[in-house]
Amino acid sequence: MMNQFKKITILILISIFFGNWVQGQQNEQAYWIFLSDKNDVTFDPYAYFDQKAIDRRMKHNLSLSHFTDWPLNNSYIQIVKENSDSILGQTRWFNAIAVMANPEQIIALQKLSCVREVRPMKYYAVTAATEHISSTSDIDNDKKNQLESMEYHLFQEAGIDGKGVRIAIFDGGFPGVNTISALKPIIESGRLIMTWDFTKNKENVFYSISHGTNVMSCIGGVDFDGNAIGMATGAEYLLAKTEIKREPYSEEKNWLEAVEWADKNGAEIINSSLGYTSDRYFQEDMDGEKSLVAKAANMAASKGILVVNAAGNDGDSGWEIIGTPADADSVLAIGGVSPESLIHISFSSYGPTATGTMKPNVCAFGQAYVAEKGGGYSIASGTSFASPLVAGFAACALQANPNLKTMELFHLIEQSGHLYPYFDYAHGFGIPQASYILNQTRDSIPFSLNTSQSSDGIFAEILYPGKFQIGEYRYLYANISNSDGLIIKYKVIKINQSKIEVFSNEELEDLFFDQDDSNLQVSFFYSGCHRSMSIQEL
Amino acid sequence: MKKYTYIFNLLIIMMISLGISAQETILDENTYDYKDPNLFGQNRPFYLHYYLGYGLITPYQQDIRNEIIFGKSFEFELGLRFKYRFTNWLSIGTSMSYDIMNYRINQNAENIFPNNNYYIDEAKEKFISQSFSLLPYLRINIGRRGNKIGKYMDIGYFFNWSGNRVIEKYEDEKSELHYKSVYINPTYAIKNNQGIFASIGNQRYSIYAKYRITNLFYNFTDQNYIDAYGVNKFPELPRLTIGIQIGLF
Repeated sequence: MMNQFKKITILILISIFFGNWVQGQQNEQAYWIFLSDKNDVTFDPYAYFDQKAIDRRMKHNLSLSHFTDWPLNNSYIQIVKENSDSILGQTRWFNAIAVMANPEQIIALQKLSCVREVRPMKYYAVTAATEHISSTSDIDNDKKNQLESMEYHLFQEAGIDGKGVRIAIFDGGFPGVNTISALKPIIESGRLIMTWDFTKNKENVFYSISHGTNVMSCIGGVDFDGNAIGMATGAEYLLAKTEIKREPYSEEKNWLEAVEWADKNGAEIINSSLGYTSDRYFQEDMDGEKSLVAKAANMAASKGILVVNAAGNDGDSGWEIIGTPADADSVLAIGGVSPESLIHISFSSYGPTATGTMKPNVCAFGQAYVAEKGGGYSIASGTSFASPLVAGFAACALQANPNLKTMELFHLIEQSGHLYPYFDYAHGFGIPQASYILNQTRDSIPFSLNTSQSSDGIFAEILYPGKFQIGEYRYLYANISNSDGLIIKYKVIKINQSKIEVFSNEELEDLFFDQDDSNLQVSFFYSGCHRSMSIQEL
Repeated sequence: MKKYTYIFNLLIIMMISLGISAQETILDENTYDYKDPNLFGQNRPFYLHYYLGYGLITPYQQDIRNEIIFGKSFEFELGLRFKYRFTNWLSIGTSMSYDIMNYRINQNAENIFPNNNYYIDEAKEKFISQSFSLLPYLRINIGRRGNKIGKYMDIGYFFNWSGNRVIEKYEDEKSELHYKSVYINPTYAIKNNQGIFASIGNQRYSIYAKYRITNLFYNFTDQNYIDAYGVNKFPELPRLTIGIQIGLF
């Protein structure tokens, strides 16, 4: 009797596991149904767009009635609805409907004349946050320096706080945003313009994971004393809850819907701290073209919105490189640096894109002082927090230069990087500097570097300022690029003497062996001085 | 003079220590070559990883004369799995593992393995087979994915090369009778066996089933055994094992 019971139990357990597994494969899945046209639709931009969205389009000389903004054809929606299990959402920009459908329905949908393409939906985004550290010995320094590393005092002195700039934040939840003192100035002055939860189609976003609350505080929050912890304390905000921890399919759809919502409601800057990586892609897919969110991010840029996206936290994982949409060429991808050294923080994802486009574009603190949902503050790690620090900076830059178009602003922020024109795939152009945004000139720094090559390798000699105090360290950045402009090797060396070996002969031999390219270029950056030359010139 | 020597030595030490730390490379990266994608990875052409497995030997088709105790009879394995990817949905591979099969024999009245001594609950009898196992398999992956193992179904065939042991242990507090005997490689136990394997999994976790096709026991060559147990060979131990494997990657 007992044996019989055991056998039945085992069989039931196997059936449940196998049944669920098989069911998972056969059941309905989420798809994008791309429609063939938008015939017979009507569109009134003045009824659809917020005034700020209209102003932004006019500033960028964009048509107020563009095909991508028109609504979907209602009769097509009806047909698709009849041929699928349910409709999850839609995107005007891509003229597509998100549906749940089984394989038979998909075959039927593909045969419809109004359907141009059917594509399975990508899923599983991860927020680019790592962990919260409750306290560190340098917490006050971190708080002060996360903005001061970008010369915040210059914006402050000029009375620039992002006033009049509208920022949309896409994240997993915003609990406490409406109650905590860190964001009270925004709420009380009515600068939280609109919220929408795309995961449940309702207005309330003040629940779920507190990642969005932390992020918002890095854009425009204040500390207990009222001092800024994000630069854009005077900006206006749109909050979109787009992520559910690990729910399949929805996040990509939510991101697409949110970007259109942000556009419609006049956002000039979007901060997004999510990225899609190895669940659906290979590294070579990170070309800024393959994913729908990358295309959407580029389209947002073409409509006059600056998309600021975290580079990702895979620098020390097997994936290593940026995710999508940070790979889109018009997205300002933000890497993370260590608050102590201002050098790449280990988890920050590396560039470039699969097409060799430089990423990240700039960087900021990858460990930041953030407001918590309960009203306290903590130190949080992740490029999720570097991204909003730069989004706040971008809002100030836009307020200071209101006539700049999106890509002009994008390049201005790149040029303001403290390493510019030097760059590498860990830091981009470095940490943006307010002085460049305000003056658009850079202090002329005396030539300070001499370089040479010997049988031992490539050496750099610091001529000015070449005297080191005992215990003093400085940083030399160096990279080697090929004739296509792609950096193939880069370094940061901590030094305390004038003459240093930058690349050993073994390293150079390896590079020459791999590259088969005699036109390698070497670039150096040290203490504000940049020098670049052919390896043969050394 | 001593004072100057001390200062001189101190200066030397300082110079040496400064020399050692004169430069330190804190970031050194080679750019990933997208034109020549990596050949090794979870969903790349080649992949290799360790795994652990634990399964329960099920009482399925067991003989009452050689019953196991379900729950105490188990398989443990530590292995290395190689995978070669043909397409996104089809791969082949081989697992190599060290396996322990532990059959805990139930002491019922009909039991005749490894002997027909009937000690009720006090006796513990085990048949343990430690083996090196080779398992070629075919893998069918389901669903689109990036560089991930994803969801899959494996079917395979295993070959075991075993060393066998039979352990009898008897302890009776009242009669103060204690003994433990170990028979290494008993002549009636077959050293090599084979079977079929199937598993379904998602990423690092999988549920598997192994079914031994070949027999564990030879026919008796000793007439005394035949006379003692009334059979030509010991009844087979159960063949089906079901368990979980965890990929270590």
